[in-house]
Amino acid sequence: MTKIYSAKKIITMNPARPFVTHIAVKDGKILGTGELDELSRWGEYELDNSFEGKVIMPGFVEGHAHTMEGTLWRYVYCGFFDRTDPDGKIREGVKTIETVVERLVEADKKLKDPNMPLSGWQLDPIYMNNKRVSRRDLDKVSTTRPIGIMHASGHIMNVNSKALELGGLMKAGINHPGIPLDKDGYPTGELYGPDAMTPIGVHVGFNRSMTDSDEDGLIAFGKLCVRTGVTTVTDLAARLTEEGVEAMLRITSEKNYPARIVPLKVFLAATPKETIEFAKSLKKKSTDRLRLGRIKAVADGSIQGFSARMRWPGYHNGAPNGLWYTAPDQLSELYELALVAGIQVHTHTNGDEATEMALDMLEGALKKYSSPDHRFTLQHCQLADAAQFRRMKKLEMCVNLFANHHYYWGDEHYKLTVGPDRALRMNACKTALSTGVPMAIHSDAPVTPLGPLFTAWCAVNRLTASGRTQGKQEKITIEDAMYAITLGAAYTLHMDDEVGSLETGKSADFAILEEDPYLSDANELKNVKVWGTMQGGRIFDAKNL
Amino acid sequence: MNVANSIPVTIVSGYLGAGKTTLVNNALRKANGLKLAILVNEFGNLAIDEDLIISQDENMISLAGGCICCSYGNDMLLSLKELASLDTKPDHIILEASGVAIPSSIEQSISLIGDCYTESIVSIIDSEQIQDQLSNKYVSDTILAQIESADLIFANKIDLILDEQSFLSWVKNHYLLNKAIRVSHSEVELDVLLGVNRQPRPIRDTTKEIKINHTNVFWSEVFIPNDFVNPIELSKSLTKQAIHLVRAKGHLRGVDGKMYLLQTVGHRYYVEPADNEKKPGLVLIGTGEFKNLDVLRENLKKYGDFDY
Repeated sequence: MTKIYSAKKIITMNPARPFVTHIAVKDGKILGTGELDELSRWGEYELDNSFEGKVIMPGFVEGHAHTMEGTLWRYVYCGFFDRTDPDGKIREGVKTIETVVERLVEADKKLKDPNMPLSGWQLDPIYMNNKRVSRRDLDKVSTTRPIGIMHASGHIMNVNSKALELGGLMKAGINHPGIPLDKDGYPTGELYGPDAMTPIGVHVGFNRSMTDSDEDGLIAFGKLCVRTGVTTVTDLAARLTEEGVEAMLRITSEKNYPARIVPLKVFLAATPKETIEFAKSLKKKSTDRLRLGRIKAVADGSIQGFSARMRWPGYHNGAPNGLWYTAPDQLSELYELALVAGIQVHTHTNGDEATEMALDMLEGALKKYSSPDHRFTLQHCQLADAAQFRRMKKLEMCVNLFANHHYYWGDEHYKLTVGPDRALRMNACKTALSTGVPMAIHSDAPVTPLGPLFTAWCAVNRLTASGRTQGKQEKITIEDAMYAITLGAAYTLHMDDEVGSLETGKSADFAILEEDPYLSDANELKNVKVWGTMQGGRIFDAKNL
Repeated sequence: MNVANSIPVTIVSGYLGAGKTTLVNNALRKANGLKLAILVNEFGNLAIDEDLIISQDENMISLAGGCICCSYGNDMLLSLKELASLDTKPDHIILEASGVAIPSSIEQSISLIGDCYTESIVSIIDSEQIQDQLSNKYVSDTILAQIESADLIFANKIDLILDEQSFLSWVKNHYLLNKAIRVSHSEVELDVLLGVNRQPRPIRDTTKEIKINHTNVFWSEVFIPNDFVNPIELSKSLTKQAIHLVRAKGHLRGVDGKMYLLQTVGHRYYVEPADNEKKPGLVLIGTGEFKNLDVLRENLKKYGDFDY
């Protein structure tokens, strides 16, 4: 049965008819868009006017997120900014360490088992005048229960004395760069980097599988997608264990699962050959709502963690160059095998040397195995300069820039990590577009909140958290930003033939909005309300999930 | 750290293709009753003869003779902890670092685990490739950091070098010579790789030469102290570059009358109290090209009276 939906405005991203009033849906696909009169010629239909006051856009495509955000919400939210949880409740940000402690005390009271760990997430002291949390602060919550709070960056964790004790680190004489010591010679409880975090993480609820989303986490993540208008979303660095894939297949095939998940197998702890073979075998298991068979490689670390690989002159504060997470030769081998096998690779690069390395390796691989339409994509790619974008264009690469990062950490980059000059060019959306590099923009949820309209707002305004416009030359228009969060992101996943625009034959995936983002003041873009989504013809009302 | 009660870890570092995996495979082949646990980033290139494998799952291969191989993936420390808490503890752990890992960072992390200690860091270089690699804009600093944090450097594939003299003078200019041990096919005796007495050996051995593919000669020699010595001062002197020792290990009675265990490898040394009943004796291992027993004896004389 054909259903025709009317709306105040339907933004199709189809240049043939960019704005229409009606859209016809059949078997989960778009039959056509246009005037009711035009669409009625398809034959019998049912008219649905429930969206007549709303604005319909193609369902948003988030090209770089992690489904683990769904699992984090069961921990205590310690972020500075207000954030909407999967149930639609706005969780207030905590502005001082005292409030963090108060919030943990409340959570502690609710736990009956005195030994059960208490975990928090999304702490970021840079917004609290960089005042550090110590084990003594957390000991006020409990001295018997291990407590751990993961920072927003994911690279730092704060723990209490009990957690240190369980991990064997509550002692004097530790000599480790990731474990600062207090005046008494014992660790302060702040742990930097995975090596310092791992021995304690297992005791405070953050273990090695924390990047995997479990079934409840996937369900919660699906709800966040509906609330933010997302209908297709990546899980950009999944371990994809056998059980993990089974769980994803099970959950996404449930009748009411609202999103299409695109997990990328992370290239880690296996040879390039094994990884390619694994991706090929996974690809066969794909379903409509679970798209397997892509690979994510990680070239370097993070800029604010000083582990990104930088070209000369390096870090602004003089920190030594960062680390390779993947050796150039390994990346080169992975690229070659992937090009031959037709497997797409997305590569995390943060520093500009990492971007340069990935470009060099792909150029070499393409000279051997020319592969039209490979769409290999650089993820984050935050520091790329204009020349690097020109090379991306020549190599037919795509880029997915971290627009949200610019808002949350732009001030830090300006002051500390890369200095004013290079901070202005970070996440250069305008340069990417004017060079002709297919571009998406992303949240990297849970690092920053999922929400393509917010991400678009970041790219359009380039404001930092302190309210400065940083790099106005890299601002893009609302139109370009809307394209980036729909067709732009779909293109980086080789899915622009299925999603990203409202055209005959494509999946009936809508973001259903209360207001028109195109008419909005550029500053208001992030405040455009999302009613819900349609995914594959199924309607999801954010208020009734 | 308590050397006697915790498991020694040898960190094997080196860039891709240097020969780390072959080194590890060779060690397994020579284990000869020693229960080795090998930690690798991934099983990919491990070439373990099938008939040696008793069982295998996703993360662990059990081998005849009590050796095991584990892949650590993204969690090296947890894997180390798991190894250290096995019912049958391994005698020695060999940790094959990833090609871009900085071994000194790994050492700092190992220091967080109570049950293990870093016995030594060895770095293996591809003699044929190292000059190119040290001028490669992406990896030169990483490889240099690997070399700088190593106690022992194995200059592997030395047999492929046509002009060994000019190679060695180049190596010398890069400050590697005094540490570098010439090796081919990643063939290194367990004594050298893991420490003295890591394989059965008569206690009062005479000078023994181990020939390895005709490219490198290690010697080992036993010295028996007739005197009390200061083990820390002695250890420090044995790690001096001019002495050219690869390793030393032994039991010595200190000036306080107590028995001590002394171990050195490259620049690293450990001294700690030992069982009073141990027989005093010091085994030294060096490379053939730097065998100057007179210098060694002169040096030892400063710290005590030794029979040899």
